[in-house]
Formats: sequence, structure tokens, C-alpha cells
Amino acid sequence: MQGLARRLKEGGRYALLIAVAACFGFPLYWAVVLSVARRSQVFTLPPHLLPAFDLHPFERMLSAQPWGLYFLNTVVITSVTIILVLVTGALAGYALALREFRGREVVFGLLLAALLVPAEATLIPDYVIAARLHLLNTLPGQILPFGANVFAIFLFRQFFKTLPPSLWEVSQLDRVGWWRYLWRVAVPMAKPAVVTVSLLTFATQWSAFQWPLIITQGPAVRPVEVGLSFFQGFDGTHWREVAGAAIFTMLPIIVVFIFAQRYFIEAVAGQTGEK
Amino acid sequence: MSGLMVDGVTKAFGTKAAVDDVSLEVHDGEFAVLLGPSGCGKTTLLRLVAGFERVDRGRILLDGKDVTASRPGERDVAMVFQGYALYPHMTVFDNIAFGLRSIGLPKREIAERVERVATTVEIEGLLGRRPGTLSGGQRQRVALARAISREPKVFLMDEPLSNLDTQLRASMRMEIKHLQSELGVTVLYVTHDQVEAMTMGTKVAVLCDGRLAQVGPPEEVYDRSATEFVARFVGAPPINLLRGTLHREASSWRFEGSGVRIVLPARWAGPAGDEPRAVSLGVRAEDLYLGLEHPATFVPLGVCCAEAIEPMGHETVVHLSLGTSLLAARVRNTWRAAPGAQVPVAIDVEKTQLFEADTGWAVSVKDFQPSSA
Repeated sequence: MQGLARRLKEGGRYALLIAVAACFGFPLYWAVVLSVARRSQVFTLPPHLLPAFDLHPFERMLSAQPWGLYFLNTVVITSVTIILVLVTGALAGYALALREFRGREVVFGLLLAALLVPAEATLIPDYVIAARLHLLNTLPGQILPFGANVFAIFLFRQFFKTLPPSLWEVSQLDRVGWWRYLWRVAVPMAKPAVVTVSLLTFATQWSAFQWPLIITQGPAVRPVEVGLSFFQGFDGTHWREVAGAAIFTMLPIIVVFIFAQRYFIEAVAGQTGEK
Repeated sequence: MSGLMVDGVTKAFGTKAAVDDVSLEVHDGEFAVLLGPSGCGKTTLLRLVAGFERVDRGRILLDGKDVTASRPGERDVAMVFQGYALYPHMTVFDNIAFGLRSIGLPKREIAERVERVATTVEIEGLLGRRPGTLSGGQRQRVALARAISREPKVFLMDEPLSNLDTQLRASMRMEIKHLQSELGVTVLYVTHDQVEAMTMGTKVAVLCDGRLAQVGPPEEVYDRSATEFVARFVGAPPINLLRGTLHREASSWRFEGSGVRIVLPARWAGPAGDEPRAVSLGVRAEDLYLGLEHPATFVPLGVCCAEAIEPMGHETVVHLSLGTSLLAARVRNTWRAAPGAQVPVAIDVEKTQLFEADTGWAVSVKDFQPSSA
């Protein structure tokens, strides 16, 4: 009897999981259906749930924008940002965790306090600063503001604090300077932090929209997400093209997620025991 | 002077002196052991020598050079930590080579040196492995190899064997000792294990509450302890202590108390005031004889009650009560008696030690000589 109860419980749990998965999966599926739908099928009720395989909107979408350029821009922006965030995060995290200096905790407190300020509140000052630095409509303008972030610093600090002090002491006796210790010992040992920071930075920069939309003017420096928005114009929204382009721009994120699923979950839910 | 010299070093954390005016010399090729209970300051002293902590007062000299203000890397010492402190993400080879690279040795020489030290501690086959895949004993060897590879002036070891199981500890003890005498290096070794101190040290320094209680060869620390604390700390089972007073007799001294009266040997004869002095009489477990046919140097102590009998395999420890005092005696494993049995006990007076009751200091033979009267 106990076995039956357990099986029911197990079955109930899976039913719930499948239902939730369907809720999250359906929009994705719907985008696929839309992207290959016939024009007449977009707004019908009840909706056509099966794809019609009309490839015209997809072709129109591909030829409407210089996607290759957008992708290249996005790849450059995302990868350079990841490297910057890792370098600044490791450096600041190291200083805040392991170097002794006056006001260290105050600095750390101020950094944490910065998390409380919503990005929207700094949008206009950010724009003004970018303009004064001649960063409008440039790739650096889309990279530098995100080249350091509090979360990365915080994460590195927490990891560095858990390193056994004897490792640094051994290094000191061996005349290994702090710079070499940081990059050859501390950062490699903080691999989970490196992975987490890389993935989260990838996800946010790849799908960055608001800031690039504001500071880019031409296709030369535009990222994919902004390109996507151009199917929503004054003449209405081209839903099939939007759906097609959305799938297309989401693809890298989906691929990365599939391969790094475990790290994503750890990044959000914290360490899951096994290193 | 070559070797290590600690000169009047004091280090306080807050208001508590962790190391209090300690002076210690470790000569070239010597194996010095800092022995003491936890919290006595022995690890702090080691860290002061390494340069991880700054001394408040005093000097530290290495090969005659004052390094008190030098940074750890400038002191040319190597350290083996309790937890080994290996870099977990590097191979054994890289763990050893990492420090060598930073002192700018050419690649070829680094490889040669790593091979050589790996052979010395017998880990040649492990160079490609990560520390996580090694056993405790193997990690210990890697840590030793890394320390040796730098060819430092002094080796500092902070309880390096405490994470190993008993058998491995015994064999590593001998191996480290062997390695030290073979390489002729200078070692300062911290431990709370008196067996390690006795078996490995050529010199033992006993620390108590941040102060040096005694420095000397292990036999001296054991047989002629400078204080009651030292006498109790070294030796297992701990030394037996009988409270009592010293009384003047015609040409010698008599110990009286805890239900016993013993006339002390002639070497303690001589005038030193006539009033009785409160003392503790210390006698080691192996210097008690159970039975009537005691050797000639022994004198009868009295009849004791055998409270508990602990067979250790190679010997037997018998716990006895004499009036209100408890005594432990070490006898051969063939000795037999039932708990509760009445046993005549004799004592080797030549081996006894005397400590002043109020200060704990050893009552030295010279106290009884006319010069100090």
C-alpha cells in the first residue's frame, strides 16, 4: 500500500512538472508555429496550433536586416563584456576578500548598496556620461557600462574568502606575488564563480535591449535584440517575422543553456554540494 | 652563527601575550621540536619565524642575518602545514614547480629538481596526479617534496603528522627524521604530541602559556624536567606526583607526605636551611617496582591497592592508590594481579624529581649545595 501511495505521489509530482514545463515551453512552440504560419492564421480564434510551413515570412525576415553583422556585434559585445566582468570581479573580489586596507568593509557596503538602485534610475545620467565620453553609437559604449558588476565582485569575494589561508602563506614563502597567486591559484580555484559570472553575463548581454536601443543609431554597431525590434514599426507589427527572428536570436542562448544547464542552476540556486 | 636564532621575541594578540619573551637557538642541522599543549603559543612562534606575523619585541636571525622585518619570501624558509596546503587544481609536478618558477629557475633545472625531490620522498610515480586523488600520506610527501625543492635555510613544520592515522604517523615520523639527518637540514617542528617530540627532536623546547619552560635534549627534558608542568606534559602515563615536605636529617634529606617517608639519595645532601619545604616528588611510571624483590637501588614506598590494570600489549599499566594519592606503574606484560589486590610498591629514588610546591620549578641539586645557602 505504501508503494502505491508513493507511486501516486511520484506521479502527481511529474504531472505538475509537465504542466509547468508546458507553460514555459508553449510560447517557444507558438513562436515556431507563428514564424511559418500563413498570414490569415496569425489572429484566428481558435488558433491554428499546427505549423503551416510557409517559409516566406522567414525568408523576408532574413533578408530584411543585416543579421550577420548584428550577430558579429553581439558576439563581440558579449565576449568582451564577459572577460571584463571576470577581470574586474576577480580583482575587486580579491581586494575585498584578502587584502587588508582601511575602509574595506565600507567600500564593500557601498557596492552592495548600489545593487538597490534600479537601472532605470540611472538611464539618463548613464546616457549623458556615454555622450560626454563619445561612446554613443559605438561598441565600447555597449560594453564598458557592463564591464564590472557588483554581483560578480560579491561572488568572487565569497569564494576567495573560503580559500585556506595556508595556500597564500605557502605562496608567500615561495615568493609568489599576489598577482600571480590571484590568477594562478585563487581564480582557478574559484572556477564555479568564473562559470556562474560568465553565464549570467552572457545571458544578460546577449539579450540586452534597452541600452543598445537608446545609444545605437545605425546597423553598424547594432546587436540582434535591437534588430528584432525593427519588425515592430509604425505600420504595425509583423508578427510572423518577429517570431522567426526571436527564435533565431534565442538559439545561442538555448544552445548554451543546454550545455551549461547544471551551472545555470547552480548560479541561481547556489552550490549543489558536488564541486 | 648559522641556523635560526630567536631572541627575546614577544607577540601579543590584544592584551594576551601569545609568545612571551622567548629565546631559542636552533643550530645548523638540528631538529628542534616546539612542544606544548594547544594554545601555548608554539604555532604563533613558528608563524613569527615564517614572517606571517610581526613580532612586537625581540629579533629573529637566520644564518646571522636579522630578518625580523623581512617579508616571508625574503627569509628563505619553507613550511609544511598541518593541512598540507597543496594547490588542489595543480598536478603534483606543478605543486612542486610553482614556487621554483617564481624564483626564476630555468625550466630544465626545475624539471630536474622536481624529479630529484620526488625520488627522495618516493613519489616519482605521482607527478601527474592531482592532490585530490592522493592519500593523506602521499599528500604529506608532496608537501615535503615541495619544501625540500626550494633548498631553504630552515624547514618549519606545523603538526605535519596530525592528520594521519596512527600507523602511518609512526612510519612518517621515522621517515622525516631520516630525511632530515640525510639532507642535514635545520628543522623547527611544532607538535603537541610528546612522542613525536621525544622520537624526532635532537632538541626539545617545551612551551607553556607563551613562555619557554625548558629547552634541551629529549632525555634531559624527560629525566630532569625544569618544571612540574614539563614533567607532567612529557611521558605517558603522566609522571606520578606526591605532595609532601622536605625535612632535614643528619646528613641527607627526607621526603614526607602522602603517606610515605623516603630518604633521598646522598647527591641531595647539604645544608640549605633547616625549615621544611613544601614540594612535589615526581616519579615516572617505569621507576616503580611492584613486588617484594625490588632491585637494590629501589626503596619500599608502601603497600598500595591495585585499582585498575590496563594491558597495553607490550607492557601493562597498573593504576594504584596509596592513601589519597593515585599512582601509575608500568610493568612487564607478564605481571598478574586481580583488581583490588594489595601490592607492595618500591621506588627508584635515583630517578625521582623534586618540584617546589609553590612555583613548580624543579628543586635542583645545586639548591642543596652550600654555595646557594
